[in-house]
Amino acid sequence: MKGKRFTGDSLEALRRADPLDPREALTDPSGAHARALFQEVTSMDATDKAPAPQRRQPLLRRVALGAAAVAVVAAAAGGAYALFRGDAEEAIVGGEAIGSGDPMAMCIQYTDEMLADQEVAFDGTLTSASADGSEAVFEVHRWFKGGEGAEVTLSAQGLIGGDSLALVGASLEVGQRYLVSAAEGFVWACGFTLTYDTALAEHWAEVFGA
Amino acid sequence: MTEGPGDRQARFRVLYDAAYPRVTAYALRRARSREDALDVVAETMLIAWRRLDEVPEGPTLLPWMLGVARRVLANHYRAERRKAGLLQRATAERKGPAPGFDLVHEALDRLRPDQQEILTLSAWDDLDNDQIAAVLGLAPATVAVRLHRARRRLARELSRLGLAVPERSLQSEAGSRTPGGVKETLPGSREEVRP
Repeated sequence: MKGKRFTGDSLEALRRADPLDPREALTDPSGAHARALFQEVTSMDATDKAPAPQRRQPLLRRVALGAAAVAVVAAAAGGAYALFRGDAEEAIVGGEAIGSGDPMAMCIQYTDEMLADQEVAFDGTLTSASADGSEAVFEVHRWFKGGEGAEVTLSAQGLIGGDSLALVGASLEVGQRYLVSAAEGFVWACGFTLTYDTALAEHWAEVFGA
Repeated sequence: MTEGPGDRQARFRVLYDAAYPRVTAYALRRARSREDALDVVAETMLIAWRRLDEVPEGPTLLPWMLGVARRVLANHYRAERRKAGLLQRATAERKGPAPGFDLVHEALDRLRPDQQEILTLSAWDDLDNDQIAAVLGLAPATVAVRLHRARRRLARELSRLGLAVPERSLQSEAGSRTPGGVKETLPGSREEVRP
């Protein structure tokens, strides 16, 4: 292998290695699949329309009601506890779900059990991110599960940058503090990652037994 | 004047016919199964149907549709706890190495996901820099620079793998990389050929 050097056009080589076999592609808009899909799509209610992407969404809009209810209870309990202690920091109200603006029900349904099953969970601030979100660096304030150290790098593709919001709703922003959960190195959206919220942080601590 | 259901459907028909082949090809190249690819196409078309008033016309239609398909695909795999990196399907389904075709894919697999994406949008989806910029949400100048670097990096990896001379035709011994093969018989397809 050594001593050889590729002298051609690498893009052309890639073009010739197109994995799509034109004989097998369902790319004919008059084909059976295309016709059936057209019928299926146009029979759907077009008025169930996507709301315009919003950078700020209501608290826990996409998180399951059960989780929200637990969070509210946790907030109340936490607030009461803070009053008794008399030393509590001012509660931070957040809980805006990241990547939850998708109206097409592509979000996986949130449950506390699924959250608990995440490989990684922490309270952290996004300190830097590549333009495509493939490398998002978080300063970790508190680990709930799966890590240690003051910093972690994850992939958050599709969750960073204004243009990525068309589908997935609110995005991650550098400098913001979040409750983050991830699996296989990828930040999860759909209620599994939210802007930091004091009460929710306590709820996460309970979920993860931290 | 209010648009009737028939008018809306006719408007969508134009979009659908134009975008279906390219969106389907995009999904088939990148999804890890045929079922996944068809799910992505369906979700993408449903979004276009429901956001019909927002879908651009003309040359920006295709980048808009592929941008949606890209995010649908990423969401799909994120939701299923799979990595969203490109081409892992192709690698996993490879039955055996073949000169050229598989070396190119192996070289591509060695690149960063963002480099893979920009190269394949150019080489396989045949998008120009402006269109790639629209799909990825980057400036065209940024695309030009990144594409140039990615091409050089791909050439370097091809050299490391020993592909010194570009092949005239790169076909895999494993056959097509299109996931799943043909399920329906299309006119002129191989399934209609009899000995």
